This record gives sequence, C-alpha cells and structure tokens, in this order.
Amino acid sequence: MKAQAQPTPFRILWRAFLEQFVANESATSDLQTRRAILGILAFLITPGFLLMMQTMPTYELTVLVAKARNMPELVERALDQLAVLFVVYSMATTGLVTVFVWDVLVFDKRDAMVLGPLPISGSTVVAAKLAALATLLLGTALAVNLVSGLPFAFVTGSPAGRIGAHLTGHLAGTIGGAIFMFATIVVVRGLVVLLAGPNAAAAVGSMLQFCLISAVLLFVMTPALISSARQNVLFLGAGDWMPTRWFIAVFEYIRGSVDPRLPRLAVRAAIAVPLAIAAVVVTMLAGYRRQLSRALAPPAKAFASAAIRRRIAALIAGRDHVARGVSEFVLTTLARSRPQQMPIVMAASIAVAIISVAISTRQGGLAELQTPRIVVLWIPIVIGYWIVVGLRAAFVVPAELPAAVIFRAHARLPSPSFWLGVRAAMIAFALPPALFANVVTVGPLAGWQTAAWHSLVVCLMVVIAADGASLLTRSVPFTQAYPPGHAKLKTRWPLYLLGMFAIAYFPVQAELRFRDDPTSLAVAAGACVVIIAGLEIAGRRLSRHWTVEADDDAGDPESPTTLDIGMSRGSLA
Amino acid sequence: MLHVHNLTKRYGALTAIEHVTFDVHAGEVFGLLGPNGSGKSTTVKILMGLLEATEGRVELDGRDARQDLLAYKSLLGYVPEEPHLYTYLTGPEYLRLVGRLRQIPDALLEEKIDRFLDLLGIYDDRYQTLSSYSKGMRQKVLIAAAVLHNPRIVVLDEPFSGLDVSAARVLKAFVRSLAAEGKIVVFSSHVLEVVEQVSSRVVILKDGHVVGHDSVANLRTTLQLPSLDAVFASLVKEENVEHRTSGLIDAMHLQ
Repeated sequence: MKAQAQPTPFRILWRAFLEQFVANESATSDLQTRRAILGILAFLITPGFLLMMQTMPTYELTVLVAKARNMPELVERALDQLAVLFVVYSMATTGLVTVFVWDVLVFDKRDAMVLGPLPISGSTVVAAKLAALATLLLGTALAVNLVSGLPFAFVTGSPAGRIGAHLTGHLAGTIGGAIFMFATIVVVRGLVVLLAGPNAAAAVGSMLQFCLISAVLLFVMTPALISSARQNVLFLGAGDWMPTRWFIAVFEYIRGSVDPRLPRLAVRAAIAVPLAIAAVVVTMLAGYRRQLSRALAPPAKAFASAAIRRRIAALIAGRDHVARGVSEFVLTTLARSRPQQMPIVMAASIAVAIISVAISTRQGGLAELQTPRIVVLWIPIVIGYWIVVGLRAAFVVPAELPAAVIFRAHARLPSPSFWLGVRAAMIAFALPPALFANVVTVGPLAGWQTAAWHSLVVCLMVVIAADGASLLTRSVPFTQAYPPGHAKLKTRWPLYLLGMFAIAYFPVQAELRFRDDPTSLAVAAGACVVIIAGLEIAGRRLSRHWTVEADDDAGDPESPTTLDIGMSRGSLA
Repeated sequence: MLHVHNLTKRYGALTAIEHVTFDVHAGEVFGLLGPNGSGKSTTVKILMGLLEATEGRVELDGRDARQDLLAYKSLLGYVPEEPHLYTYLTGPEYLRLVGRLRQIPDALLEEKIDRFLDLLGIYDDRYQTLSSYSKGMRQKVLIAAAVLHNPRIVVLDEPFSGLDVSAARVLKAFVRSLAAEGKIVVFSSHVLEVVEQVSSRVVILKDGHVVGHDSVANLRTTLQLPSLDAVFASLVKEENVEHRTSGLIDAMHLQ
C-alpha cells in the first residue's frame, strides 16, 4: 500500500496563512474557519444579487423603450452605466474584504518568531504568503463578480449572440479592477508598516475600513447614484488618471463598445495590473527581509494618544480623579485598539450611507441645499449619534480581559465616578467629529452664521445621545466579554433608527421652526438642559448597580500553572 | 560543539554586542546571563539564525552555521522569551503546524503531540484556542514545540516563565536530562539560582561585552564570592541596591 505523501512546507504554510484571514481567537479554528467562510460568501454574494435585482429590470425596460423609439444609443448608454456599476462595486467590495484582513496582509513579528527558527527557506515562506493572498483575492473576486457576470452576460448579450464577449468583458474589467485594488491595499499596508510601524498601520486600516464600508453601503442603497456618476466623474472629462476608468474601459472594449477612447484607457489597465502585482511581490520580499530575516520589528511606540479628546473629557470630568482615569482609559483604548474601533467604523459608515441617501434622493441639486434645511443641518448630529451607537457596541468588545483585574483590585464600586468617566469619554469621543462635520458641511452650504448657531444644537444633542447611551452601560468598558445575542440587532435596529429621528431629525425641525423666535428657542434649550440633568441623575443612580466582577469563572489566566507530568492524568499507558 | 566566535552586531550606530565568544559542548547546559539590555536576546537570535551578525560567526562542529542555515535550523529547538504563538490555533493545531513544517511524518507527529499534551497536563484543553490558555499553558506548548523533533541543540530563553515551583522543578530535571542525552543546551534566564543549579558553565554579558566566562564554581572561587548571584552583581556592577530601595520608598511617600 502506498504511503500518503507528506504535505510540503509550502502547502502547510499556504494553508496556515489562509486560515489567518478568517481566524479569530474565540473558537476552535476548524469550526470557526468554516463559519467564517460561509459568512464571508453570504456577505459577498448577497449585495451582488441585490444589485442584479435592482438593475436588470431597469435595463430590460430601457431595451423595450429603445426598440419602441428606435434609439439603440439608449441601450448602449445603459450598458455603459452597468459597466461603471459593476467595476466600481467589484473594486469597493474587494477593497473592503482586503481591509477586513488588514492585520494579516503582510508578515509581522509573530510570523518571524514562530517561523524564523524553523528550517524553511525564505522563498518558501514568501511564496506561500503570496499564494494565500492570491487565493483570497481570486475567491473574493469570483464570488463577487460571477454572481453579477453570468446574469449580465445572458440578459444583455443573448439578443445579439454576444454572451461570451459580454461575460469576458465583465470578468476582465471587474476582476482586473479587483486585483488592482487588492494589490494597492497590500502595498499600502506593507509600506506603512515598513516606514511608520505597526501602530500607524493600524490607524490607517481603520480609516480605510470606514471609507470602504461607506462605499459598499452606498452601492447597496443607491446604485442609481453610482451609475449616474459616470457622466460627471468616472468616464468623461479630465480624469484619465482614475484607475476605475481604466477597468471600465477594459470592460467596455471587450464587450464591444466602439468608443474611440477605450483602447488608450484599457492599455493603462493592462500595464497597471502587472505593475501592481510586482509591487506586492517586492513589498512582501521587503517585509520578509524586515521581519523574518532580520527578526526586527519596528519600535512599538505609542501612536495615537487622543490628546484633544482626553482634554475635553478632563474638562467634563472636572476634579473627579477616578472619572478622569476611567475616561483616559476608555479614550486611549479606543485610539489604539482596532477591535474596539471596528463597531464605531461600522456605525459611522451607516451614518454616511444614510446621509448620502437622504441627499441623493432629493430633487433640486446643490442650489437647494444651500439654504438651511433638515437634510443639511442634521448631518453633524446623525454622525455624532451613530458614533455614540458604535461606542456603545465597542464597550462590550473586551480588551485584554485579564488586565481588567486592575479594576477589581483598585476599584471602589459602586461609584458614580465610573459612570461619569464613561459619560465624559463618550461625549469627548463623539463631539469632535460631529463639530467637524458641522464645519465642513453646514458652514459651506448653509452659511457660517448658521453653522455657528447650529454648533450649540449639535453639542446639546450629542451630549443627550451620549448620556442616554451611557445609561445602558453596567460595567467599565472593555472589561467584560460580549454576551452572545446581547446586541439583538434583528429586533433593535428600528430603535436605533427611531433614536436617530429623535436626536437628529425632530430637534433640527424644531430649530428651523423656532429660529426667528428667541423665546421658543430659549424654552427648547432649557428643555434640553433639563433632559441632560435628568439623565445625569439617572446615570448616577444606575451606577450603584455597576460591577467590575469578571464573567469568566475559569480563574485567573495569568496564574502560574503546574507542569503536572504524569500526575493528574495518571500513567501514560 | 557549538562555537560562537567573535560575534558583533550593530544596529546603525548602536552596538548591541561586540566580540562575544564562547563554546558550548555536547552534554552541557550552558548559562547565558546578563541584565536587561546586555545583548542576551541579540546573541540568542543570532544563535537561532534569526539575525545575521555584523561580524563573527556561529560554528557547529567546525562548520559555519550560515553556510547551510536550513540544515542548522533543523537541528535547533527554541523556547522564546515571549510566547509568540498563533493564538487562534488550538494547542494540538499549533504543534501540528510546527511538526509538519519540520517534516515529521503525520502518524508519528500525532503520537508525539498526544504524549506531549498528556505529559504536560494540557490534553483536556486540546480543543481550546491558545488565546484562552494561561501563561503557563502557553509555555508548555512552546516547550513541546521546541523538542518535538528531538533537536540536537536546545536554546531556552526564560523557559520557567509562568510555571509554578513544582513545574519548574520538573523542567529543571528535564533540562539536565537533555544534557545527559548529549544535547547542546543553551539556557538564558534572570533567575540566577536556577542557572546555578542546572548550568555547568556560564557567560555573563554586560553592555554587549563578555564580562565573565567560566564554570560557576571557578567564578565563585576566583572572585571569592559565595554564590552566582554575588558573582553576577560583582561583574555587572549593579547599582547600589540599598540606594535604589530607599529611593523607591521616598517616591512612594511623595505627597
């Protein structure tokens, strides 16, 4: 009987690197890997189906109209718009998946310390990492684009007998764009680590996650907005430097469009893809050299200090040292720890998507927005509100649970100081981005005088939102594990939306109504102050029920353990 | 024999170690000592082939280790100072990864993993990820990973970290047994009493230089000091302990 061949180091490492993309530390990896892969596939395929359901009926209607009016250019324009939609969607989705695995895109010190002492050549390690990246990329790109590519080709190509050309054009444009996006992010990740260190890379990762989640949400919610942008941004004018246009050109050229500009742009895509892949290989080799061959990690200097937010929190906490300590702990953790940033990134992306939908579905264009309106004035409050929602979720994502012992060892609970610290941190975290949004949106659109006045409303509403959310906290943030099913997202999302209207829509409506009535404005402001005072009293009372006890009954994981050779488990036989 | 010859490592303008030379014989436990920042970790990383020396070389049986680094690494087992592990893997999964990368046949590997987990008392935790392991349990996994392939050279960097007294006693006996088997054992630790018990010879580093290199007994006799602890304090010229202690008390009393 032939012995089973031993897997090669390349294959073992390829699989290990691949598992890193989907693994987390909460479950055994086999089970977790399978669940994660299923979740990712569902996440990737579902929006693709939604896109097809939204776009194909419109396309077929366009075909009927074009036939009736004998205007074939209408069909061609619809196909152009679909090309824009699919290529940009492919790039955004691939980018999103890539930033979700941001931390394991390149080699790190852990790889160096685990793999470095083993007898494996550097070329094997780098090749396995590249193969794992390629597997992730192709899996993502095919899952995202086959879902739309096949129906697209059959619906749009069959009447002219060009199913093959339409499918090839679709896949070449979308997968080419996906490769370019993926490679660019990997190179950015590698360069940031090499040049600025792992902490800077973590900060950049959260920012990219925010941008790409917002982009994908926009696709799902407003595909028409994206496709209509073709005329303004993506295809015409002086924007030939935009990579999206190069891959749209590939799509359209292979599909059979006769636009004379396409070959020139498509050539750029044909040059950009191999260059991007080569850049990934070079980055990986440099990362390998840095981390594995030299076993040197960039110095782990603290990157983000949240200095401004900590000052704001200190002002709110006043002379209460415990409250100041808690608020500093919360803000510094949020600034430096990516797992805690993730819920906030997701919530902020939802805010951006909601704001974009609200603006894009209005008629009248920019001129109409240049007067004080709810759709403009609520922007900073919506952002502040959703950041508070994200903060509340982030608080139950634990950070170094064993370290929570410091609160058990040093805390004097129940104490309102802990609640005051959390409240101060929430306000200090949510207020700056809300006020920044006020400056960059309300100021230019509705005027600086309106923005200045509106900033007071923004402050009051963010404080109320933070006070309200802090009442739902029962422990020092990040010190308790997230109870399974605690979020109840399926049932609570209407509450979040209602909360948004209560905090952002109705107050702005009242502000607009009372803006010329100082008495009513004073009454409204007084009501807000009363609400804030009431929430503070409630918060102080509820803080009596706070706990710092750990949920984990497995004992202190830092305690010494016994080697126990042949003792508790008896003999080896 | 492992011969470390005139090792020097520079990081830009910083010299981490300079002209470090020592030999380690088969069947010997060799202690590598030094205060923080003395160059111990750099020396260990060069020994492990993780770092390339700026000058000097590591020789095994007269052959430069870097001439065939993979063959050299295949003879090494290493317990690192910090528990660098893929914490999303379970204990057996981690050992399987290391064992397969060392080309241990599957059937043998599974048997070895089961026996190691059983003997180390972590068999019942085999379905948990390493993230949920205690510090001591992780240390056991690292010890198992280091000797899984029956290495000729074992480098132990603070191997007792997280282990309790009885576990440490077992490990000390295990280290002596490794040497008795004829293996080359390099042992680095801050716990000088342990080093004194298990090591036949030591090298003491300070600021990247060798300040002492001999058997523990010879060092004690030469310097006329009662223990390795006293020898170490004498050679690295530690700051006056009483002075530092009174400073700490003063700082505590600051109002």
